[in-house]
Amino acid sequence: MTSEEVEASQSGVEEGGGMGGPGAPTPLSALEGVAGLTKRDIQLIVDGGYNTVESVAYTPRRMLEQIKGISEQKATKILTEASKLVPMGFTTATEMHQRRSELISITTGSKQLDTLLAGGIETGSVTEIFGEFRTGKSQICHTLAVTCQLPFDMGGGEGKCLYIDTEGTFRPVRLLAVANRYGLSGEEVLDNVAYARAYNSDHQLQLLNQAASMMCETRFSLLIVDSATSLYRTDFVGRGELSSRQTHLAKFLRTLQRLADEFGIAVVITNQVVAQVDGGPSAMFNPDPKKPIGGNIIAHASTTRLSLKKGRGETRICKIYDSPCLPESDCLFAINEDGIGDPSPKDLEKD
Amino acid sequence: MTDLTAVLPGFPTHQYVRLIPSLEKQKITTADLLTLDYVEVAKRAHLPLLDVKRLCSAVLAALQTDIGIHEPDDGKENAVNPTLRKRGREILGCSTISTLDDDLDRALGGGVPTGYITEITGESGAGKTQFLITLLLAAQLPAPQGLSSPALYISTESALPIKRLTQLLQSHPALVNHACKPTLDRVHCIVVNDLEAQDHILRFHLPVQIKKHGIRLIILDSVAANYRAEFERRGVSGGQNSGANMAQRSAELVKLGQLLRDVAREYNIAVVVANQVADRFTGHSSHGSDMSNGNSSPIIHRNATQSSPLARRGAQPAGYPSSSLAPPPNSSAVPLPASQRPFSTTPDPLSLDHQQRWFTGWGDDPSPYSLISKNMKTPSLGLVWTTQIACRITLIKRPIYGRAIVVEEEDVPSLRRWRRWMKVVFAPHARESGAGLRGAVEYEIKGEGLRAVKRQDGDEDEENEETLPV
Repeated sequence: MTSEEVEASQSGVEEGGGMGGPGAPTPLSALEGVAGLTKRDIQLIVDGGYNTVESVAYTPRRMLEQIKGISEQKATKILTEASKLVPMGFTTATEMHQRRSELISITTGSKQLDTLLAGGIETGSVTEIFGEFRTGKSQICHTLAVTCQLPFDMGGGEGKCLYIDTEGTFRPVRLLAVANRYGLSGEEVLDNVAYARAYNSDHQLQLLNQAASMMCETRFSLLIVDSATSLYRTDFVGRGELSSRQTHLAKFLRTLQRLADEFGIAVVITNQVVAQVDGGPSAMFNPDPKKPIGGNIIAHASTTRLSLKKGRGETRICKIYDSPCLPESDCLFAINEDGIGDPSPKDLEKD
Repeated sequence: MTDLTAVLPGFPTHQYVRLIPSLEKQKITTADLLTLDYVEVAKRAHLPLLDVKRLCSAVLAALQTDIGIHEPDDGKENAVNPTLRKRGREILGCSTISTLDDDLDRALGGGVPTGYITEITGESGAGKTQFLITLLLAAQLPAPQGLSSPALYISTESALPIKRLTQLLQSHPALVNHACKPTLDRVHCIVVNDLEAQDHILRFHLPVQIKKHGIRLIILDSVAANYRAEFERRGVSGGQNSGANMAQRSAELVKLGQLLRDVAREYNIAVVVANQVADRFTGHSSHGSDMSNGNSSPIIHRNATQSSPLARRGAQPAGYPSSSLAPPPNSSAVPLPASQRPFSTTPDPLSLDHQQRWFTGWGDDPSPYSLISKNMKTPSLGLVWTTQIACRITLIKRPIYGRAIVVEEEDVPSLRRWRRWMKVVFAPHARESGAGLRGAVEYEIKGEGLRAVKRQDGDEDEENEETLPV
């Protein structure tokens, strides 16, 4: 861990200090004499740069052990004592409920789809969209890149969009068309989309670090990775590299989840599907052999998973594949000239 | 003395402040104190004889008090550490947390027990989180169903699905009209995003939180997420390094297991962890076993390494038992036809590949239908973690296909819905469900919570549906 992160945890203390009571942070000397901590120990830790009980309670043990003269045992002891004094971390679900209710959802442009998703794409979590080619994955991404800039009362997120493209399918022209529909100035919309092309899986992971620093500067509301897995398919070949691929992918997804938590942004990733051809007899028992790639790692990491399928004409079917709070159901939406929308009545009638 | 606080957290070290630094410097452990003569200890650490003697006897007394075979001197609260003090009835009185459904409870022997680590494993979307948040609410109910105590939720994947929790609270039939309705106030939660934070929270903040709020249920959702992301397992390139990495991961997992077990036992708490799954590669489908030691490994070598979890995926040779291998001892002289031989994929009955089907929850069904290698999963973190837990509950989901609801271009049957089963794989307090899905309880996830599906005409129907020809 770098010194910046320590500073971050210390600044976290200052915010949290207000909760502990009216007092300022407790000086570390309060721990002196408790559980055999000597003045010398306290002095060593103060010299190491930790002046308050709070700052110690937030610091991982590994960091404390690096201070000269502090053994593993001492570090454990001082952390145990500091944790007793500092109420930290845990919140009740009620507080969480209040905080979550402030989180917004970003509209997809289609009323039906919004209803299915209980308002739109949830901020603060990872949404995965998978389907074959031509099922509208990228189209949803393009529409979201615009709608996330809308004001809150129009179902937007009032923030910029970061678009990580791995397949080269990003088309600014599509953004302009969607912007027109919402009466936004095309130029501004394009200015508010930060675009990055990722060339390999390491680069893709590295881009997230840059993303974090950008998000510190201005308000972003959406991060799109289209598609999250295509580079992994080419960078890692064969079963021999499978486990390193999955570990790399897991790391990438953890970083995404972290960004979503820290900055309260919505994260949308797309995923390709593969036809399962191995395991001869099993194909018979599996009439629907299309599966999202990335295996269990990506399945566990994404909070909401949406499966897209082709319907008649320009309509597409979206099905909730996995979600902690939405029931499993499906709906129709359409891909129009100006982004994602509701299917026209005549498409619906024929069913 | 380097480990005294770990062995005896409550030991009053302040009386011996002068001795400890010197003992630490000489790397004298608590075991040394107890086993070596005090004269020798004193000589090694250059300390006064009498002081060391006093320390030795104090440590001994404290240890005896700790495990309960010795009355504490000062006579204050006997029940500080009642691990060995429990006898007979007290041990019997292990309480459980209900799943709020009678059939599921029956299969679980009343629910999730306190004092143990219980693992819930299953694919993404199998209902793990649903199961867990039901427990969060049930724990707050009074005695027969819950423990009337608050609960703690530590999430490592995504934050507590609060919307769903509220929905359950408002609509679950067992909760709506209950006299003492659970509240969100009594659910404490925290998100930990990396292993370091996870360890820090569990080790230092968890005990404080438990004492402060009287928590009796701890949920860790999921235990695997951080470990899977942070430990590299280099397939081919990393060779040596990967072994070291996995060894370290195993050590960390053992420590985590011990920590959670101690917490569970000491405070009589139910610790419930969710676990992710990984796909299992069965023997015959791994034609290119090109991993670490696949191609070159001679058979003798393979036998030596096979039972190690690290070698699980790599060492399985392609195809069927090679001719040089003796037939498995348990198979009778007359070989059965392939379709009837229940577990024919592994030649060696003592290998982990063969054995794991009985403790993972997948693949123990001897009927030929499930010989399809499809959808075989293995709970992640391997054998090491399996030995840490007391009870494993596996949630299994299988797709049901039918005609598409919306007419599509191609006339392909599409996924209609999922069927889900809960299976007790092993448990100290309840009967295991048995092979396959026969003994497992089918359930569905409704708006108002988990509910077991009533069985009408037995298994017949089940299998027909699964093997429905295309």
